[in-house]
Amino acid sequence: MIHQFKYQTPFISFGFGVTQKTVTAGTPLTIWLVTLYNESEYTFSLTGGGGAINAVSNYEYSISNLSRGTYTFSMRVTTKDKHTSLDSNVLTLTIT
Amino acid sequence: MALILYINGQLADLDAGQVIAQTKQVNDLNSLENRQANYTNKFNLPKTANNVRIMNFLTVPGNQSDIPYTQNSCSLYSETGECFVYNGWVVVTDGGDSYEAVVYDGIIDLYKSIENTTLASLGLDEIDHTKDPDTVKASFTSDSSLPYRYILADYNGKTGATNSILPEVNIDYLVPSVNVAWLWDKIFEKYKMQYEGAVFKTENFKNLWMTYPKGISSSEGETEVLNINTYSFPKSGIVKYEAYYFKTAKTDTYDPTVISIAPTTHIKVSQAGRYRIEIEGTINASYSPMVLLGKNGEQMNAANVPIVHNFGLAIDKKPFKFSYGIDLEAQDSICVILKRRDRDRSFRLEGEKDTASIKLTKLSVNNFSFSTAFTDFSTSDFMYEVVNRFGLTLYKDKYTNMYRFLTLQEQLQSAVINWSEKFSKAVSQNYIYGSYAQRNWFKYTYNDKEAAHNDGFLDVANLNLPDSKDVVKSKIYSPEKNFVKYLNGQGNVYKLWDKEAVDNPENGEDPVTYKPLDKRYYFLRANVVNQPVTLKSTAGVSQASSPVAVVESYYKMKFGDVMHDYYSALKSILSKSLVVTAELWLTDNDVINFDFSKLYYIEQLSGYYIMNKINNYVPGKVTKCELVHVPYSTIGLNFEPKTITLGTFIRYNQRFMSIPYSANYDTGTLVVQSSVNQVIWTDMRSAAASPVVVQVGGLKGTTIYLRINDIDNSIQSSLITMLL
Repeated sequence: MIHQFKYQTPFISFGFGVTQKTVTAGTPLTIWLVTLYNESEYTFSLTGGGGAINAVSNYEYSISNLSRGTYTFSMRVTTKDKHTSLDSNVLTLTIT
Repeated sequence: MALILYINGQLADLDAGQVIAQTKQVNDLNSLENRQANYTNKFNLPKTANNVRIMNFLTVPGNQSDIPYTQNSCSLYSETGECFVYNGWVVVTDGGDSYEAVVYDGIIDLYKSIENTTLASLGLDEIDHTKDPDTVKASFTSDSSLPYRYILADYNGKTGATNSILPEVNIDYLVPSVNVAWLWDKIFEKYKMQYEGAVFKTENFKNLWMTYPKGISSSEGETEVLNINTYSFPKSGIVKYEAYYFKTAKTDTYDPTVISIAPTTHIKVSQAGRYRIEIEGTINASYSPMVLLGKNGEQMNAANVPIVHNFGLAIDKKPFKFSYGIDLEAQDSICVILKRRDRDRSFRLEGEKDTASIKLTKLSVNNFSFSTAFTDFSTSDFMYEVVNRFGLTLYKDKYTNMYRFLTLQEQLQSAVINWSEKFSKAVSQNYIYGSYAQRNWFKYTYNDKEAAHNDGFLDVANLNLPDSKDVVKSKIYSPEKNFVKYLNGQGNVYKLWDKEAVDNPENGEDPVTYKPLDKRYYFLRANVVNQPVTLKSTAGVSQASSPVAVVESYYKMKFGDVMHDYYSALKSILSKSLVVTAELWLTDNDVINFDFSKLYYIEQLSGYYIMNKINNYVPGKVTKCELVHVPYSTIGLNFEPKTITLGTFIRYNQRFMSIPYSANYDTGTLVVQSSVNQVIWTDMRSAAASPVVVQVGGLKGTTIYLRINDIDNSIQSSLITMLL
């Protein structure tokens, strides 16, 4: 049980559990980390896209400056001892 | 071993060898019904001159001491100066030859601070406002810093034409919702405390809103203050006018406390407020002049009066009917004017067949006062709602007013501390856990007392426990069981009005009346969608258009979802519950610096434990501790989010396809839905079994999006994009 919680896979979404999204350029976007982690024990890194990722917190990221195209985002959650990295699901974003 | 005790900043005398047994705890896993503070056993304070003085001469004949009735701070130190309790509370009673006292600390400060307070005491005046289409629209912008939003939903009122292609929402039957995170901040700000916790940064918390608790209709309390049925117009038809005042011939209804007519053309109001002016009639006028509303133009020529609204044209001999809502200050005057459309169209009036009437109605202002409405929701109830919904445990910093909130899940991810060397012996093992039953219910309040559709439960697999128990009874109402079509999609009904059918309605009378309900607090989420809407106030006769809409969602709000998201760890612990009472050799330092948020490993017990309670710590003696066993690994445990995963679909031709899918949870009602814009979704067919075959209609070249939606759980699969 401790093991399952310590090493559970991170789940990220565009909100409301949505993992694929098509929006027009300039639409404000937020990516949320849904899975809860003890922030004293892990570090968080969201990667992907071609624009700017602004971390509001470890659980909220605003995405901006994306031009037309399709982008993917994913998150890596790493234990503070750096022994274990947990990779999230992949989000797909299409900008039209 | 001597102890040092300060009461209200003064050093108190303790008997030599005085023992003060301390019990430390944060969140008793034995029960979900409350959260606990630390405390000491009762101990004696000798009635020395010093102690009597500290107690303001309590028990001395004629004393006026209020020590037993007030908050008395105290701090308790070991003889080496290490702090057991900092700024705790001491409760003093007389025990005869000596005073008796008990010391509390930990979360007691928080609960004492908010005791007997309501949310209204938070100073919510800053969000009191008047509702109109513009304020509703302003609350839609996603970067809005407003702590309230008008979330579009069916509140069981007169919703408007919400299901047309360009939906029109009647805002008269909307209420604002206040952001729960904002209220949470206000509580901690008001009581000068700080908080931290990962859960407060998540979407589930930040996008949680609480409705205004009662329906308020604009049409309630409307007062007709003026009704003029006859207007006089010149009968000659010879003179050409540039502009012409409506002049009264007769005043049928006239409330002199609100209205004065000055002299026959200007309607002056003595009370500030929002008014609706309605004009109708038929005028014989050449060149169809404009019908205008002027304001504060007394003593002016009709052509020069400042115009505030253009009603439209009075087309010759054609009936017209206009209305408009306007905010007026006391002593403002309004007038209605006919005015030529342009310089070449001065008009003639032939009053023989002219009719016109003007009605002025004072509207009850749509004032939403959270500071008044929230008077019946206690601050402690609100905090319990949040703490229970997110399965939180509170940890107070000993020296500051900082509160740390953790879920059990986060606690299980924390560092492990090896306390094997402190182990003395196991005293007992308990397999039946505290105050739980086999099925432990988390319940909403319902309009229909028999309903239970959004309740959830935590099962404990122990046949020796009672059958069933309500562990959390939320004061928050659940939306109705049945969905309605709203904004061309599926919507929940949050009842703030009751509908009543009118028997034999007269011509023009609404066949349904809407009775406002009170004390209905709902939690819901706000979903910003790219859906243009028109926001109309029927009563106030005004409107605004918005390119986006903020629509209700009940995503992860059912207690079943709450159980999955925040109580999986507790469920797992309870399913094979083992509570070991063990004697540990603890030092002052261990107790003073004890961290309940950590996991403890005890080799002699071959396992990992959460410390539930340190019972009656007395320096220099073994201490009985209550330890809850946590298995390191549990087979079959599923903490993953509920998801519907699509397999590789097979497209038979342009329009037919087979979609395989799977879900990692017990699904509710599944349907395949299609959309052309990912905003409005239409049900296509049931998806009770996988694979599901669908036929897609539409024009060639159209892009159609498909998904599988679990209606009961608000969970959707990823999208399939299909070009026809």
